Amino acid sequence: MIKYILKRLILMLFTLFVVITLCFMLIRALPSSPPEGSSLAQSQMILERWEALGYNKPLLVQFGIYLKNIFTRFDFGTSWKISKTQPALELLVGRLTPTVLVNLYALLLSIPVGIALGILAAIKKNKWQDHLISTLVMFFVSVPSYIYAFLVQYFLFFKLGWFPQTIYSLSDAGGWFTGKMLYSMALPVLALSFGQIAGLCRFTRAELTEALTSDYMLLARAKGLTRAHATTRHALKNAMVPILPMIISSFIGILGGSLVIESIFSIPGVGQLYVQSVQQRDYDVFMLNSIFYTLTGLLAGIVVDISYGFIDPRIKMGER
Amino acid sequence: MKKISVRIFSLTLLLCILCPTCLCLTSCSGRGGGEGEYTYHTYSSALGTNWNPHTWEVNADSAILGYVSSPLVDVSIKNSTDGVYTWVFEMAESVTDVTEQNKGDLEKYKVTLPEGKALSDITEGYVFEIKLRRSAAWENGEEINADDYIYSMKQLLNPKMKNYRANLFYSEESALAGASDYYFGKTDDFGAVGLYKVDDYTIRYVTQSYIDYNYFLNSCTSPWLVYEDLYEAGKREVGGLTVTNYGTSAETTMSCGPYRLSSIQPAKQAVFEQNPEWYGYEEEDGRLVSYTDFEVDGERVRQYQTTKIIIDVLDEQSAKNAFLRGELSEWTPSADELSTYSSSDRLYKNSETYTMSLFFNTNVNTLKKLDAQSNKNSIVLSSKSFRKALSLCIDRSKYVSATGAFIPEYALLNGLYFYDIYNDPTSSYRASNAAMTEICKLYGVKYGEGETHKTLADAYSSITGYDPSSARALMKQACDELAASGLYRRGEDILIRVGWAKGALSADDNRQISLLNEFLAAAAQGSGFGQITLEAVGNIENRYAAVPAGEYAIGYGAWGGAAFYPFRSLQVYMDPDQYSINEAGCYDPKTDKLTLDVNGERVTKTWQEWSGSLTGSGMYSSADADTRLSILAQLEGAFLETYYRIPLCSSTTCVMLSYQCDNYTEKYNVMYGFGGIRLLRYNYDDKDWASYIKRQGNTLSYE
Amino acid sequence: MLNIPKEKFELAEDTDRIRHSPPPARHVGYFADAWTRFRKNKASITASVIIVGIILFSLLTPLFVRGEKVGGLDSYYSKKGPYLSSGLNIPFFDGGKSRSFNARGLLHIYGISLGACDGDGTGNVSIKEISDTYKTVLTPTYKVIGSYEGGRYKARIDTYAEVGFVYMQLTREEYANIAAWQDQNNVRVLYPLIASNQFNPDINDANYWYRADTSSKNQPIDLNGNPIKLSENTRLAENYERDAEGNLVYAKRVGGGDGEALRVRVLYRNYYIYQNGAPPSFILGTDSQGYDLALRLSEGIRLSLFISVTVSLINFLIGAVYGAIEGYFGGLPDLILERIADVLACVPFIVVATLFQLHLSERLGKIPSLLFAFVLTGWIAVASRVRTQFYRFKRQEYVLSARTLGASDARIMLKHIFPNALGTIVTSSVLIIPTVILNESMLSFLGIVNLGSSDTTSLGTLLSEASNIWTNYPHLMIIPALVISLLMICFNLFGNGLRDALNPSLRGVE
Repeated sequence: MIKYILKRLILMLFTLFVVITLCFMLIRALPSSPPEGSSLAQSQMILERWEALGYNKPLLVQFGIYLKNIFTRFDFGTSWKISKTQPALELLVGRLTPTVLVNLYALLLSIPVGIALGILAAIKKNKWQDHLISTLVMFFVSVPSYIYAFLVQYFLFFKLGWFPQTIYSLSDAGGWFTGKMLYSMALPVLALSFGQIAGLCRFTRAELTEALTSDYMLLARAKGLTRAHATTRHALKNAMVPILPMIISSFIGILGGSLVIESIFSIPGVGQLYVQSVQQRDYDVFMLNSIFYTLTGLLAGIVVDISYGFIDPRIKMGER
Repeated sequence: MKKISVRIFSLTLLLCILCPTCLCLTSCSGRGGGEGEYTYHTYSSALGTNWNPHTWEVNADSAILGYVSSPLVDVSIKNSTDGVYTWVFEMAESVTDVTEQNKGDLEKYKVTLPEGKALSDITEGYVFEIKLRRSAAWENGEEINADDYIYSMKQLLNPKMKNYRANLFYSEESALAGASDYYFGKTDDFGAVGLYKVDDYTIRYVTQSYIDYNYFLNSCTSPWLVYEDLYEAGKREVGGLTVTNYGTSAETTMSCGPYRLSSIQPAKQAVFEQNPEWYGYEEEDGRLVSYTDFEVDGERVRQYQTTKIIIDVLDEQSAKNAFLRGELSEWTPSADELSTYSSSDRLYKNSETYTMSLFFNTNVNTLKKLDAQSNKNSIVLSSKSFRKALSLCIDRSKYVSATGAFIPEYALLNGLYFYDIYNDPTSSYRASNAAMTEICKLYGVKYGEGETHKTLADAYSSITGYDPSSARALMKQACDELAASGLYRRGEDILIRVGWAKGALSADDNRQISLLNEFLAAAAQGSGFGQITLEAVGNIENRYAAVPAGEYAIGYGAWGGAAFYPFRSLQVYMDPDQYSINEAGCYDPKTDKLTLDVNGERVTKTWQEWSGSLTGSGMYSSADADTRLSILAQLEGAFLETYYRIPLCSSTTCVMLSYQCDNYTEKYNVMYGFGGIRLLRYNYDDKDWASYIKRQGNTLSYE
Repeated sequence: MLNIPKEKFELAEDTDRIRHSPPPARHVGYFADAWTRFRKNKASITASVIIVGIILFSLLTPLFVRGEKVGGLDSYYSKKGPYLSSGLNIPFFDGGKSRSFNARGLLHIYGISLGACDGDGTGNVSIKEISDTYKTVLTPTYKVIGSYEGGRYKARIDTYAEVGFVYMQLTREEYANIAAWQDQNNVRVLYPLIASNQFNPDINDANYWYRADTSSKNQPIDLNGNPIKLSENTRLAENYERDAEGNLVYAKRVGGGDGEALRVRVLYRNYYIYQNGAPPSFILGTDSQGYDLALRLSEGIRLSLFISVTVSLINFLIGAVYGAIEGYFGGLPDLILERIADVLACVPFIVVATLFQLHLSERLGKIPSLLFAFVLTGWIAVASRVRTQFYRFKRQEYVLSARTLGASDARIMLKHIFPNALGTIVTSSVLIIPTVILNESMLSFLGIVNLGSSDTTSLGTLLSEASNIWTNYPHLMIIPALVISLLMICFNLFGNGLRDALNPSLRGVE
């Protein structure tokens, strides 16, 4: 087991390296010239800065300098466009908290609700509860998340005034973990969780249905277990197998997909930073952001794979 | 069993989430202040990140800088009914021209004399003495004196820092003598730069070239003062440059203005509160109030009534919702919303100086190369008749109907330019006879006896830039010319890619291009040309450089700014030493000559010389306003005649103000706007405003 | 123990009942079975019908709706609501919108109707005399609501009529044609020009035909300079341009050269009728550029469906093959292929999409580069599903037995494991379609890719154009959102139905 984990970690680092190289090459290879100043004198000055930062050196040399900085000084570069002269690492870390918080809250809300609804729908298959839940789920899964965001904002803030429109700033709420901040995050959490609840519910329902129709369920009923007992002891455990990975991957998914939500609710988070860095060609921040997403994705992958091994003894990785 | 327990679990969780919510609902108070406090809520799509006066780059940065700094000199209202402005001395107590008494400085700092003048002729315009206000202080109480100014300028021009804003002081009209050499490292003696201290509260400023007193005061409205300790503490080396993090966060900012930065959360919110150390405040009933030093409409009025300013980062839709619920004090409706709010009482319209135009690369070889790659027969652009036909076939009023808030333009400098603003506030360039004559000449509109238009003004107001029959005739002529010279074969289709925008193309852009294609199709009928199509390309990093570099044959962009000093504005089209010119391959402004009429004399110079002759050390820089006006108008007309650049439209911005506060005056004045935040008056303090909103049912209506 | 006599026992000869019923004569194949199950599922049938309906809509609409408006793009009628001016006065289709006004704004709106009824320039029409042919205000109220800032009024106005008058430049020939046409058909197109004096607030806006006080927010005033109040009998003071003899001027020579261009002022609705032969009618309204929304919607559906189906197919093919090899062989090939897939999977989608757009869109075009971006990382999900399925099934006994009997790997994969996995695989492929539509709409929304142009658009582009303005023009967002949701719901239901249908273990289960 340990050997397996070690092997996976080494492979992860290797993957990370390949991804970094790919992203770096792709973004630096974009045709990009130093920005124009409003007069020749200014343009001259900008060219000199550009030169001084090494953007004119050949691609491989730039890459070498970049890697060296990471390993020797843990310096992921400086942001030049989004936040002048601020180290990219500092910039990213400062933006992590809101994104993680909002996603976490959304997950905490959606997991129990989603699974519960899914189980309910699977058990009462083809009865009115199933139809109702399935219809609602269909509806929530198919409408893009930003439309929810708009609707939620419009009705709950503009018409009814129950919640504030955007999340509070630190000075208004007094900190990230206060009750006021939580209150102001209600709208984005709600907007994010609709899709998650629907996805989880549908998935749970599908898996549980499949489990409920398998042979061992028939055997269990034949043996005399009650429906509920058979479901909880046998079907549920089997159905939960693919759900855990789904939860983890949906966490990653939310991290990546909350770009739109972040811009609508003015959440100063990682997603917004990402889009800005692409639009403004802030290379170092973009690279660091990509590394961050990649790393989380890979870690999630490892955790999922290992957990598969724990949960389902039938599946042993790497075997024929 | 499990189902029920899961159900209970989820219900409990929901409850846990709702409980703090309810607690918060009760404990939450509004975001504004209470009685006697006046909070100005505004928003922006991005928060400034660098408001160091030496390096700020975008508008968001300068907005923050404006609140936390006080310039030497400012502009405000003297008489709002007649639109008379006044200079306000803020950090400077007075500014006087002491050239006559300090001629020695002119030699010492090696100033540039105007063409044809000798040292003995100079009596003004080079050496200015600035007396500093003694009560000026930083927000931590330390006093500000001449040493701070000298230090700040030294850092601004520091050759190792290559500051972004240094060019204002080493190359523009108020350039410091000797600054350019110091900045480029040719000398490392700051004593050779023309800014020196006379005593603790007086400094002298020596300019490199002649500058009119009013224009010097205007240059004093840009602050350059920094706080030494924080500036030095924040320095570090990056690459080969020295940078400082001064002015990037609340801890690295030291305010000398009426407000101080009390907190800033990047990409989220910035909060400003009154700076108690600012010299303009006095205590009244336990609050800080301020009255103007100068008279506005005959009396000293209350200024800076705002006690708190909050800038939030919001997107369009959120901003609108917030405004309609009374949470924002101002809002800029997008072009699409304008039609709903056009009759509103609270709408304030400003025009902008940026004139959008099409610019060309007409070099035959470049066009041939482009034809081989991505265009088809763009060689037709080398024909002046074709370009003129293009200009005349565009119905600009229909063109601007495609997007709200644009107005048609027929010339390079639009109605916001003034040629002698400080002496004559009604000296609108566009409305002057000289300028109008040139444009009428350009579009071939005659006036006078026997003509349709009796007066020049009549003739000018009838110009629409749209002449379909001439356009068709010119198209035919162009086709004949091009076919005769073998550059184009009759009947072939033409496809030209236009470098349109930096970002992705929006629906508005698509609409505009469709209209242009429509106009071209109408003009090309019967001319012998095949189908002409313009294709807009977005996502171009720098289209202003791409066109002269030969990547696109046509570009779409704007020049603007410097509304009070148009005499430098034509340099962007004609002076390749100072600016990178967008048009290419057309002519060589350094060698091609042009003859203009100066006070009855015919004078010939190169284009570059003409564009520089009205400013700095040019021949006519100290001539009277009318002469300069006439030269400028002729130069503009001559350039438009070449059709290397075709003006299309300019934009207006509209701002809506909430019922909470009022501008000082409803009459717009190009010098002071509507009075600005200095003279903003409040109808309700925060507490009353909150109850007002409640009374209206929480939603306000502004149409 | 009882003694039961022998006679009481009868031999049971129920051979008919006891013997097994003969097996069904026909052997039901896999797909026939699937089809039966699919047919029984009412939801999927409904979904398929709706999908077919939407596809038909997108294919047939261009035939019924005039795509090329006479005169090209109609930017005056942009962002308007659904409108059928056939005189049926159906409430939803009258292009009406309820808005609140201040007194000046409402007067201005009425002014448009008053001006339209005032072709001879006497300015003597009062509000209650406005004829039905040109009403801007559909349901007026003179009731003041809200007590602040001078009182507010609520009225329902016709947004198409609100466009009112526009200035145009015509050649002499066109002018003569219009003049002849308007006499012939008794529909007035040309209206008097407005004087550009101090009572004219905006020389570019042809709706200010009445006197207004420019120093006081354009308040309409009467001949003595007093502000006009709003009531039933209100008349406005005209401010038309008159020539030396005091006659109205309908056309003026403008510009230079030989002055062929004439500036005129037309009532846009009647001008539209002149150009197109019929009053405007847009069944779903117009989009933000001025095209008929129904047309743009059909184009958008076509493009979105094309992209998503193509992506789905390609992903299915690549993913199935890749996952099968991985899952079946396991061990080293699995590890290597997994690593490669991992590397590709970890490149975030948005980065790939943006970079490809910026790099390749010039050379290959926007759509192929978008497809490329989707396909680059999209197949990984399918491959991983296939792989999981293969892992679950390859230990089954029938696989073991097939292998023992000497079946080749390919045969086992295709004939034995694949059909079991087919259900999940096909479902997940079909379910990719809504995901692609969603992703594409998100990319358009963020502005990274813009598929809109004068002849094509995508659903995402329609949504993103509407996102800033939808509170004022809700139909621009509601209709595309509805269509996207409908498409996605239907594809999801269809996918569900497919999955249930293609799951052989459900045979016989109710």
